[in-house]
Formats: sequence, C-alpha cells, structure tokens
Amino acid sequence: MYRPNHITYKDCNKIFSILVPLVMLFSGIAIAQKKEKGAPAEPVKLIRGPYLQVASSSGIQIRWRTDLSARSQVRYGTSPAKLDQSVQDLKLVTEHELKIEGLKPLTKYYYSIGGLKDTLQGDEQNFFTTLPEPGKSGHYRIAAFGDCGDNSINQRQVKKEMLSYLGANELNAWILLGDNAYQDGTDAEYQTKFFNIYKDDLLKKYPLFPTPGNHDYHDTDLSAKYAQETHETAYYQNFSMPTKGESGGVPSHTQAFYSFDVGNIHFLSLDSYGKEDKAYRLYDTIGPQVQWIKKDLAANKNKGWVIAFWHHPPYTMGSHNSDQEEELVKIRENFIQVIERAGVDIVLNGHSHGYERSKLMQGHYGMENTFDPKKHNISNSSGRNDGSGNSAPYTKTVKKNNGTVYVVSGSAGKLGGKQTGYPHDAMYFSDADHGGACLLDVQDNRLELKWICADGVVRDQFTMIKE
Amino acid sequence: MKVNKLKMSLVTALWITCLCIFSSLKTADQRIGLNHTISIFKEGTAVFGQSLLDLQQAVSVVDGQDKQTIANARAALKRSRFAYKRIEFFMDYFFESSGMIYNRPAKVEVDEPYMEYQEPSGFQVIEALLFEDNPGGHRKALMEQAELLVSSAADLNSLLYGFDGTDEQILESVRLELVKVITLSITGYDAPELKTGVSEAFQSVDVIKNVLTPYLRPAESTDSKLCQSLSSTLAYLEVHTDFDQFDRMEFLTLYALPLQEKLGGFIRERGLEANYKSILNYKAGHIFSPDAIPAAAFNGIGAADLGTRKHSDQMKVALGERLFSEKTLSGNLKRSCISCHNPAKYFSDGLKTSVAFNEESFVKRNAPTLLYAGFQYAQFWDGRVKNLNEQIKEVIANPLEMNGDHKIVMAALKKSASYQSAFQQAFPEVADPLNMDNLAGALASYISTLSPRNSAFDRYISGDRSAMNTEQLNGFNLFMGKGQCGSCHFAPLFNGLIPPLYKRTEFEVLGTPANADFDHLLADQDSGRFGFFPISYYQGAFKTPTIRNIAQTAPYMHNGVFPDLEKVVEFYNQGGGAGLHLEVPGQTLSAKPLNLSKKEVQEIVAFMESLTDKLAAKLP
Repeated sequence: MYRPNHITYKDCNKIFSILVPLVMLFSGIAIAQKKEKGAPAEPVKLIRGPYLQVASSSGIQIRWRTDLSARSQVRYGTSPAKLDQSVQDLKLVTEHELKIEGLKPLTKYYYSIGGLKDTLQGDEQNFFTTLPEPGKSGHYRIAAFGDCGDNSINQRQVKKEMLSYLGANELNAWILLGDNAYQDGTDAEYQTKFFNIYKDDLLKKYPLFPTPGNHDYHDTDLSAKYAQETHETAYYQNFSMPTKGESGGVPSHTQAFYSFDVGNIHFLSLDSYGKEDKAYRLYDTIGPQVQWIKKDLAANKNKGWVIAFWHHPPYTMGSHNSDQEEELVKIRENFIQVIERAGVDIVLNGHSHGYERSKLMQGHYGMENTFDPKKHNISNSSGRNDGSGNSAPYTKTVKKNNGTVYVVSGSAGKLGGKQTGYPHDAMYFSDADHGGACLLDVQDNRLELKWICADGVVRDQFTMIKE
Repeated sequence: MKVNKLKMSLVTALWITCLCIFSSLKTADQRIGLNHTISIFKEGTAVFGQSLLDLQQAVSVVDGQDKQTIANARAALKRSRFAYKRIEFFMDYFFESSGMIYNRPAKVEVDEPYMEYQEPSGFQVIEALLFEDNPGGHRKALMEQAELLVSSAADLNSLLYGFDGTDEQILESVRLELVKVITLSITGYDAPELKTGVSEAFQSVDVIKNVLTPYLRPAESTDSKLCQSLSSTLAYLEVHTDFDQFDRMEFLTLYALPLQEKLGGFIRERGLEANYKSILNYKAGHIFSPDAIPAAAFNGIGAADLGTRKHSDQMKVALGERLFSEKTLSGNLKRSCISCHNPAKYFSDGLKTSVAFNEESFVKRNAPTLLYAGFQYAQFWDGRVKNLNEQIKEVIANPLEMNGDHKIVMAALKKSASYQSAFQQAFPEVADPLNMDNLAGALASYISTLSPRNSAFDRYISGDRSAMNTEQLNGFNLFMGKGQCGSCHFAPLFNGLIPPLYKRTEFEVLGTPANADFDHLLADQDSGRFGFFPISYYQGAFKTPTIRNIAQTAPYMHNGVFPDLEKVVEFYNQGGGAGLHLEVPGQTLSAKPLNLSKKEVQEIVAFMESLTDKLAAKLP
C-alpha cells in the first residue's frame, strides 16, 4: 500500500513554497486527465455475447459485454463480405446495447461488433434474420428452453441436439421458460450457466425472448420478496424486452411481461413470480398484468396462432406438485380461464424438470382428482399425427377456437424429479427421465410442436390445424 | 547548476509525493490484496485451463486394453486437480455456484424442499470412471465431463467483471481454504481413489501463502511467525506425500493447527477479521478448540460458554435438566427422556432399538447418544426435523415413544408451583411461560450443553501428549486417512457437519443390513430419509451421527445391527452393503474395500475409544 512520504527540506523553504502549489496544480491536472475516460489503452476483451434482443420486422438490438469500458459499433449488411452499414454509440460502456432500425422484414443480415477501431467478433457465423411482418403467414421455427441454466452436460446436449435437429434450417426466435441461471439468478450464474453455454450459436444468431422463473428472483443480498417487488435482479439487467410494442402486441411498459409477433404467431411472455404494484401476482386477476393480458389478447384476435408462456405450470406432477404448491394451484384456479376464454392455442411452462403435455383441453381448474377426460378434453386424439392410432391433428376453426394444449418443458438443463402421484392425470404424455426442449414449427395454418431430447430422439409431438 | 539540480530533484520528489497523496486519496478504499489476489486467480485460471485441455486429450484416448492410457489420464486428472487447488479458495468463496461443477462429491445433491436435484459432475465423476474396472467403456462419459470442464474453465476470467472483494473477504477465503486442508484434503474427501490429498494440501497452503504476501509486514513478529509457520507447513507437506503413510496427527499438532492459530491471530491483529460465510467462531484458536463450533449457531448453549451466559440461560439449562427426568411428560407417567437416553449409558440405552411405550414392542430405530446431538442441522436418523426443539416435541407426542398429549402435559406441569417458578426464571421476558415451546426450548438448552470435549483425544490435541497411546494415534491417522472415515465423520465433531462452513448436515446411504452375518446378509427394510422426502436418492439414507463417545453407546447403526465397533469398521472395510453384495443402487459409500488389516481395524477402534468423554459424576 502506498504511504505518502513526508519529506522535509529545511534549507529550501523558499523554493518549496513556490513549487508546492505549482506541483499540486500540475499533479491535479495530471490526475484529472487520468480520470477522464478515453478509449482504453489495453485491448478490450469480449466477455459476453453478442446476443440479440427486441427483434422485430424492422429492427433488432445487439448486446454484448466487454471487460473494459469502450465505445460500441455494429457494422452490418446483407452479405458477410459487405458490412456496409453501421451504428455507433460513443459512450464508454462495458454493457453495449446498440439498436438497429430501418431493416427489411425476414431478411438475413450479417454483422460485426466492436469499438470504433477494433472488431471483437464478426464472421459468417454472426448473422440474424429480422422477424416477418406481424400477421404474415409463412414457415417459422421457434425453440423453447425451460429451466436451462445449470451448466450441466444435459444443458449442452439439449442445445446440441436441437441444433442438429434443425440442421440447415434456422430458428426465427427462441424463448426461455424461466429459471435461466441456477441457483439464484446472479450475474455470475448467468455468465457461467447461460451466456457461456449458448454464446457460439443460439445467442448470436437467433433473437431471444425470455421469461423469468422463481430462481431468477432470488436476491442473495436481500430477499426474494424484495426482488419480487422491485424486479431488481440480474435477469432484468441482462435482458432487453419489447416493452413498447416494438415487436407487435400491446405495449406493456414493463420488462416483466410483454408480447411480440413472429409473423402470424402472437406470443405473450408472462411473469408468474414477480409482483406488480408490490401486490399482484399473475394469479391475482385484478392486477395490472392480467388487465394488460386481456387487452393484448383482445387486440390480437386476428393472429393465426396465440401462444402464452410463463414459468409456473397449472398441471404438473414432476419435480413440482400442482395440487400442493399454492402458486400453481392459484394459477390454475384463477388465471388460466383468462387464457382459455381467448382461445390461446398453446401454453408453455417450465418449473418441473421434465416434459408433460396435455391433449387439447379446457375448463379443468380443480385438483388432479377432479380431472375428467370426458369433460375436460376437447379431443381424445394424441395429436401425434404419426400414423399411430387415434393421433389425428387437433383441429380448431375460426368459429370454434376453444381448447388449449398445456406443455411443461423444464428439462433443457435441470432434469428429473417425480411426485408420488406422477404422472398428472391431465397430461397425456410425461417424461422426467430425459432432458429436452421444444421446437415449434409453424407453417401457415398448421402448427407442430416437437419435444427434442438430449439424445436426439423426438419423444413427443403434436400437430394443430386451424381451419 | 547546483541549485538547478536541487530544484530538479526537489520537483521530482514533490511530484512523487503529490502523486502519492493524490493516488492515496483516490484509492482511499483500495484493497491491500485485491489486485494481487486477482492476478493469482488469473495466473491460476490460465494454468488450470491448459491442464484441462491436457486432461481432455488424455481421456479421449483412454483404452481399456492399454494400461498406459489409463495411467496417463489419471496423471492428467491429478495435474488438473493441483491446478484447481490454486484457485479453489477463490472459486469456493466468491463464485461457489459457478465453481460447483469442478470438485463436488460424485453424489446427487437434492435441492429440498423440491424434488429437484443436481447431477454430480467434474473431477470426482471422472475419478470414479477412471478407477472403474474398464475405464475405456466410459470414454463417452469421460469426454462429456472433460468438455464441460474445458468450456466452463475457459470463461472463468469473465467472472472478474466488476469484481470487488474486500480484504476481509479475501482473508476469510484463505482461512476457509486452510480449514478444508485440515478437514477434507488430508482425509481423502475429494480425491478418494487418486489419493492425492496431501499433495493437494501443499498446493492450497502454497497459494494461501501467496495470497497473504501483500498483507505481511516482515518487521512485525506476528507476521514473521506466520511466515515461518507457512514455510514449515509447506516443507512438511513437500516431503511427506504418501497418502496412506501420512502422519496426520503430527501434521495437525505440529504444523496445521499452529498455522491456523497464527493465521487467525494475524487477521485479527490486522483488524480484518470478518465472518460472512461460516458458522465458525474465528476467535477460537483452531478447528479442534472446543469453542470453534459455537452451540449458538444451532440456537443452543455450549458447555464451554455456559458460565458466561446470562442468568436466564443458566436457568433454562437447569430447568431442562430437571425436565429430562420428568415422567409427567409421558402419557403413562412412567417414562422420561432418561428411559432411552440414560446418562449412565452415555445418554443412550444399550438396546438395538428402544423399548416402545407399550413396554412390549420396540421402536423403529436405535436411540442415539445426546452428547453433541445439538450440533446438527437435522434431527432423528432421517433428519425429519431441523432442530432439537422440534425433535423434543415430536418424541413427547409420539405414541410409540412417550405418548404425551401436549395439553395434558402442560396442564400437569402448571399445577406445580416449583415448575411455575422454574419456567418464570428461565423465561423472564414472557408473562405466561408455561407452554410446549418453552418446555422444548429448556430441554434443548440442556441437551446442547452436553458437549464436554474432555476426551483423551481432546486432551492430546490441546497439548497433553501422554493422553493417547501409539495404537490410538495410529488409529487417528487411519480414521482420517486410509480408512476414509473422516471424509464423512468430519472433524472436529466427527459428525455429518460439512466443513468448511459447517452449515449443513450430511446424509449417506451405506447399505446397512438387517443382520450382522456378513456371509448371509439380509437387506434392511427401513427407507430412511426417503420416508420423509420421497426422492430415490434418499432411499436408505441416514444422517451421519457423531462418533464421539461411540465406545460407550453400542450397539451401532440406525437399527443397532452391529454389536461392537470391530464389526462396524469391518462393515466399512468391506465397502458397506454393496461391497458385501447387497443390492444397494444408491449407495453413497464407495463399495470398494478399504483393505484395512486386522491390526488397522483394531487401531481405528482404539482411536474411537479415545473419543470417550469423562462425564460429570452427578446424574440427574
């Protein structure tokens, strides 16, 4: 540790008295100059990202993190050899967030990231495709990863097999179903268990739309209760959401929940753990979130498909018990009728670390033992559409749009756990022994969901058709 | 010219002075060891990352037919472990969650209260695979593990983003690393088959020394003594590397424990003592000091600090002691705590399982001693309650045990004027203190004082070198080494409290049989912790009890199946139930034999006999 030297020069009082103020002044300037930030002298290192946020048919946000403060620049263009456009931010930051606007819909752009003079990353693997125009039909693929962030072999395998199943096809987007970084959703855990795992492929190529889980709401300094009320956790620092309706949907004006369109598919990302106005959970239907959901669902009835995703499932007997956990009971009793009334086609959840999927169903709000397939299943088909018996696709029409398929897919990282009463009677297919993630494949009025496992096997699938 | 020269030098000197002043102002809160520690970590991650690439290469060519490839992979694993030991203090302390994948036991960890768990990964999984009969058959699993480690370690430096550890934290991190050396490394806790624990201890101590460098003031005598202690500990570890032959008692008493005392004293003297992580009392000399694990961490009152506690606490203990033999607590007014936890029998009853309330049948499990029972985070063999208070209430109400209706018990006690006054003195802050919570509280206070710490072993450690004989000393070395007893019965209480934080109690699946005939073993039907928390990993899991006073509390295990300690040690020596060919799918104890000779078994038993406390003559 430095200690100031107390040097005294008895013979040089005169010189001393002149010099001291001068020297102090110069030193002051020197220090002040040193303090003033400039471009860093050392090479800047990329330590997180790039990752793609707030995607829409006309824009995208690219984020990355550097170890030292630096300026930001994204260069982009429609060919990897010709990144002829650019956006900059002259602020010295370590968290780089650059928005690109005025892009063409459903168009592939290549990009590089860096400072004004250096490039941190940018080759033919750095690309993104803008979303299609809201409402427009096409062939779209969206992957859903639930409970992924535990830095396990399973997490790596699930990602690997998803990519290998896609082959040359690309995702239009990917979504998270919560509990994205175990155990407490801290920044370090996000680094090790989320960003480091997906950095070389999913994060830099495909727009990400997250949702928070309970583990994203731990607050290791204060309490989960505090985090629930303030939303001040690493999840909210690390992700940008389309809160102003940038990507379609009714603006939510909060990062906690939001909606977006991928062509003719309308998605709602909901927050099943945080509190609005320090009081309302998702299952408190008079709260701001459900009020917004109602508005958003009403405004998007013209969409071909509506998919809602959040963390806590209404039906599960995997690592969690939907008859015993109060928040799961309440979501089932109070909330999902809102979803069902609007004819939401699919609900995707995580929380339990397996895969559990219902048939096309509606109106089951009680405990497991009150489930009656005759009463609650709208179709008794498996929906697998694979030539096996009773596997015809689920069919919905404009007039008869009711019925929802509930999917729990929480084994993209964490895996396993069964209640004594496993599986849940309302769930047609349950598997808590294999890790996996879901792939939505939507072609106009035909939707397929496939559960792609860590060993590459597709163990469940269903098809839904809208007439 | 002369003046000019003087001027020049003066200007320079003043410049430096001013710069120093400015920089000291600017960095008023700059940490003494922060940058140094960060650079140690960065150096460490570079070496560690490279070692993992070597390990990845080595496991990728493992071939069951080619012994050399297996030896190479084991050697590479060893080097990776050594490299990890140089960043372990930092990872465990500052980034525990990110570090979990590297060096956790090869055992599934359940995230209660949910049916969630984390599969084990990392070194200890790789180690287990490399020591299986045919490691070549596990190449895919080995490659997956190696890839996990390589890709994770490559990102370690990113964790330094915004890192701002204080000197207090840095010093606590090395303090805890030393506790790991003493309680885990040398016992083979994290390298049971490689048996590299002693050489790993060297790496840990060496990095501790390195981290301390900027804090040390050579002129100060405390500091130079600490330096000497570090150097002599390192010198000892450098020479004595054989795991099975390592003289743990010599190492602890002459090197590691004095080092721990000096390190603690140094940190205190520098005013940088802080406890953010563990339950340990850092004012205690070393880990075997009786006050190192404070009863207060378990809401209890330790024997050691009883004298200094306030009057009402002493009254609580006195009331608890009185209630301990109070038959009013039972449904038939015939039984008390003593019925099964008899002080004359070291607070147990000498039976396989205790006599039930009806005085005809027997309860399900063996009555454990209450000595040191309070120093656990789980009570009962299956850990179904978290503390003594809950345990006491349950036993009183349990129809098989005391069958006491809480309301009737309280009503009876309320009739007694002397109990009225005893409760009043023990709980002066409450108007009407006669209730079940306070009754349990008083009993728990008494039980938590049952920690005499005056056994031959304790006396030896605290300086009386005649307290233990050679056989017992050999036994200690085996217990803490080759016998791998100390890697579950953790020092200093030799129970399931996991070092270095001592914040959790461990459960293990041993495959304890229903009978003691090793040639014709029968499976025990007790599902253990599974009955309380039905996740498959808990099938047959039981809490790790203390082995202090064990020589006085036969018979042994949760079902009292083994009549003597020789049988117990022999059971472990054979690899537990699975080692004895019982079907125990989730056994957490290694099924491999320990290869302890008859003499060694005897020595371990002799050591356990040295853990017998002298109990006060006065019996309640």
